[in-house]
Amino acid sequence: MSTQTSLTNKYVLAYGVTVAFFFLSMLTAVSIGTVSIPLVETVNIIGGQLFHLSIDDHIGAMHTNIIVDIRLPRVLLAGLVGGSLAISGAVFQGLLQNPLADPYILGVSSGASVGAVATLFFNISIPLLGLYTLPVLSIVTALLTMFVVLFFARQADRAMRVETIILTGVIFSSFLGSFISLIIALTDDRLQQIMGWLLGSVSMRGWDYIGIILPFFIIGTLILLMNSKELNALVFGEARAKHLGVDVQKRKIIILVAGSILTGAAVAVSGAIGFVGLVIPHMMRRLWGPDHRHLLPLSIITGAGFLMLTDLVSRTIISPSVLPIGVITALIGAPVFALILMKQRKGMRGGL
Amino acid sequence: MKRLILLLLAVMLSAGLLIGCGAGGSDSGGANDGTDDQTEKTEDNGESEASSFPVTVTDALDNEMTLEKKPERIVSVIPSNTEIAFKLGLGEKLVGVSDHDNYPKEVEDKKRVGGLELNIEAIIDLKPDLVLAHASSAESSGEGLQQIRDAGVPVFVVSEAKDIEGTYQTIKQIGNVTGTSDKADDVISDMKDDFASIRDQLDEVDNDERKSVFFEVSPAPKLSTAGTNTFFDALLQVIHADNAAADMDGWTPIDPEAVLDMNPDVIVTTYGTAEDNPVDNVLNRDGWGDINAVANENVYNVDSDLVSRPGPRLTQGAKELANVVYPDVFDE
Amino acid sequence: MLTLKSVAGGYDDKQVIQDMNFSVFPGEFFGILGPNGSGKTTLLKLISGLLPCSDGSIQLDNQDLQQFSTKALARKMAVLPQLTSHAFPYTVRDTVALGRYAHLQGVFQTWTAEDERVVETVMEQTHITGFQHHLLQELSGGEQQRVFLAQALAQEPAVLLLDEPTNHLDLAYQKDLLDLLKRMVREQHLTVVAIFHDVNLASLYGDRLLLMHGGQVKALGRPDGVLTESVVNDVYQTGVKKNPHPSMAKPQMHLIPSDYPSVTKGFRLDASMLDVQPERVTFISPAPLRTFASHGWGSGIGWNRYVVQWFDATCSADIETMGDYLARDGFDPAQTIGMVTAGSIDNTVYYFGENEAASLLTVVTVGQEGTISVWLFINGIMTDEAFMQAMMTAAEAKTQTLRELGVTRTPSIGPYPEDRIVVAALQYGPNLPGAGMTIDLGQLIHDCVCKALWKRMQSNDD
Repeated sequence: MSTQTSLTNKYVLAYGVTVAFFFLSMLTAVSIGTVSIPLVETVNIIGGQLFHLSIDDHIGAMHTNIIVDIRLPRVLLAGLVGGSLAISGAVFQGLLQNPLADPYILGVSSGASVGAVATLFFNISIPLLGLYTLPVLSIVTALLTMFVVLFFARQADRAMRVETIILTGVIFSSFLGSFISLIIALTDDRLQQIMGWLLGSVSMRGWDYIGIILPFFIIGTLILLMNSKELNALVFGEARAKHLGVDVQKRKIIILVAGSILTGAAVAVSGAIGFVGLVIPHMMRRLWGPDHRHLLPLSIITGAGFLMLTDLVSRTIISPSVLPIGVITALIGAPVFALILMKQRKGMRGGL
Repeated sequence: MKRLILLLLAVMLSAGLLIGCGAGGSDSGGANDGTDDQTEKTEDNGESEASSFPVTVTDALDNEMTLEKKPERIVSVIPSNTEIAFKLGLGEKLVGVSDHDNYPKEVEDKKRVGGLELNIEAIIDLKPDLVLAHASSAESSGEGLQQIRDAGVPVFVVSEAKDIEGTYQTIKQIGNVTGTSDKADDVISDMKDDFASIRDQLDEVDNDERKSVFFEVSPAPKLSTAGTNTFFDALLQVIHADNAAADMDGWTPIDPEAVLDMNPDVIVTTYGTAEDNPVDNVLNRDGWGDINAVANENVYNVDSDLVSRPGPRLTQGAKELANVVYPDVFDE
Repeated sequence: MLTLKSVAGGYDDKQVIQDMNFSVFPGEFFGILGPNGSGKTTLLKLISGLLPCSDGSIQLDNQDLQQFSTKALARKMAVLPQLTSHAFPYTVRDTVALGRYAHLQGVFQTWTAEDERVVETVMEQTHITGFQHHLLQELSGGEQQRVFLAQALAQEPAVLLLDEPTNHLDLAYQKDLLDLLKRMVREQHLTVVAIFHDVNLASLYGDRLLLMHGGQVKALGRPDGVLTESVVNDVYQTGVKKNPHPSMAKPQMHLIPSDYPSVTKGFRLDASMLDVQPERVTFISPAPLRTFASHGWGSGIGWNRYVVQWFDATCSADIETMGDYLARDGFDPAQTIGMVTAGSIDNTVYYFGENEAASLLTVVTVGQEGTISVWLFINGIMTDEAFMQAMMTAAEAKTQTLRELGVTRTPSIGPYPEDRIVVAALQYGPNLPGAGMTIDLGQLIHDCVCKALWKRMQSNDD
């Protein structure tokens, strides 16, 4: 019974630390920026917004604009994108039994990118959607890509083994990647927008983009959280999971679809931001263990906090200029990743 | 979007130059005297032997070449060269221009010889007797240019202008190499006159009435502006206005909240060809409503070629800027 | 419990299993044997529901396998896989708890006290409770396999399927794991179906064995019925010898390397291999001989190259210190039959005898205490019966000669002496099925022993 208590204590600590990290990140990310706004004022502004108090003073108005219309939406968007990528990464790593898998392994990000880049290149604007043509089309192409990949994987191998799925995803990724390259080669006056989008950013998306990603985030996350036990079993291989009583075919598809929805929506609103989906699940697994019932929520919270901080660094480190957020995630992510890789190899030698 | 390509080229070039400088430091030191000589010689040629060929010239890469006779078939691989060439009355002699050329209208009828990457075969096929290259792309397309030289076609690399004075130099160089030095001098003095008249008109703008201008050279989400050491900035100095991003250097991405802090009086976008309603987008942008420029609807789009292409139309760019920044004072 | 009716199946278009019919009874340890590619693993995949049957039906508790949901099947049947490596650091307890997946109920799949009890129990049974909070990767192969066994047992299955469960395990772990399974079968009436790679392990642990060949049943039944030399040689395309287990009523199959006999060929056992020294007599064979020895170091049935007799007046050496003697004189204790007697070289005689059937060297030593040792080195292949008959014949001949000589046994020192007989034979040459008095070999042995003993006793009289 005492061991049970120590386990519970471990997770209490885990959630305590990650939630604290999340709120600290959020508060820091909202209150620090190119324009320095005192913490008290920040809290006042947010409180004022919540309770509809007005601030007349001009500096106050500017700060309100910065906090409410510029920083809050980008911080929240960073959180949603970071959370989505981190949980999909955790799920794909578990499902594919490959600690090096990332949310983009099924080609979903290439799919989303093709939609976005095509929207920019052909200057598509669907009347009802207006400015949101890009994220909506991007999500559509992401989901389309996912279904095509799964369809082809099934055609190639009725059992849809993970190796087949990974291979199909990789092939589609490079195929769609060449499409993007083609558009870049052909484009003239829109090159900058396309490159800007491909680099990934949570800047200047406003509240509407939060509205776009939120439903996908909620649905995808709920589905994945409800499948955490199955993921625990699937980590030991599909045959093992089936013997333990998991309906592998059904669960695998559900998990892949939910993970891809999350990834597709994240890429659609922010571009492909690397490393979050790879590194955060790893850190969580290393710190708190591989049990998906806790790994998934912890990854969401930490991923959200991490991307908020990364975005903060990207817009403050050479302020008032900015660095691409993907550069920062990679700068932090790559060394962490290398560290994990080395430890992993050591672990493998130690085991078996 | 031409300036975008220029930007990319500039980035590549500056990297290349850095390496080049590091590697060839002693070379350039040794060639220093020669360069000075050449400058003198060039000026001599410009003044007294305008149309007397053969002429020996040294280009921006210190390549010395002798043109036996006045070039009759010219290929320009960069829009600014093309504009200058037309201004110098060489329109008829231009047989090939770059993919990015869009001014003057006559370029529509010219053969295209590539953009970022030159179509060497097409250039040689045009049988030019002079190729006007540019220092900004001379590194990146170095092998291609060498192939053209190997085919017996002289390649003159025009130096990269960093400011208005530099632009005059490039006009001079092109005039010199094409035997139109007199015309070049006329063009330069016309430009000088134009700038002077703009300055004069705006002299009455007091220091406390000076307006600050924010250039938006790339839209959301990757908001970018032009700081010091850009033509944008140089033209603002001509029209007695302040660059809101004076603290920043060159073309650079910028944190949107910094713009709120700068609180510019005028916002000028330069990507009208790439986006349909740049002005509306800025006016309706979340959180920007209290910026002076937005609140007073002083947001305009200006053709980026006019304010960033180092050629004779810079004066026109200055006028357009003066028009939108000081509409009450400036009148043309 | 488990019934297969004309089952066929395989991968895609390739049929691996054809017309498979058999039943597994409740509470039985059922072993599946067969050479590589005979379809053992495919059969197990069909039974576990991993592959569909293309023909026939598999019934579990009189219900078609297809009618079970994945979860319901997992509550009835568990599978212990071959040991594989795992990418993620799960703890032992988490791993075992996964076995309860099929038993969790409701939307939230709540963990009940019953689940907790089962996990505790199976961890006790498999002796892994002590390291339940360790990570899987930190454990040895044998421990990991026990963890996965616990996971399978946590499913509370009626049937447990195992695919070469002892692969990659050390000898002791193999025994531990199989002993544990055997105990579960006996105590909890668990039904075990296990693929075996090792014929002898299958024989030791399986109640019944299924020998597969080319995707079909070659033999089915109790181990001694299934494992006959001819069937095993046929199925595995090899040469094996069947022998009883030394202490269990189970057959064991022994491999015979095909180039073994040629190594030992080309020599004859005769007096030239005898080394006679004042302090000891030694017989040195160029290759190990099959030996039956009644006394001394290396007695019993074995394989030996050296037979040594020391003459030690004090006669203090007993069987415990013999190893030191052997090592001192440079003999490999594992390949030597050794004995000590009080006396000297004068007490030893040898005689080489030969007839149409066989030839043999006889060495006889009579110790001062009256102990007689008889060594027989026979040129030919002898069966176990022939060895025993040779011993009896030698003993008979010795007794008869002593009686004829009128010798009464009066021990001079120590307790009543024991006579010693060593029989050694080659593994090539004529087949010698017996050595009784009525057979040529028997007569030869009798003659040689009598003659040697006569020779010795006569010289004693001198």
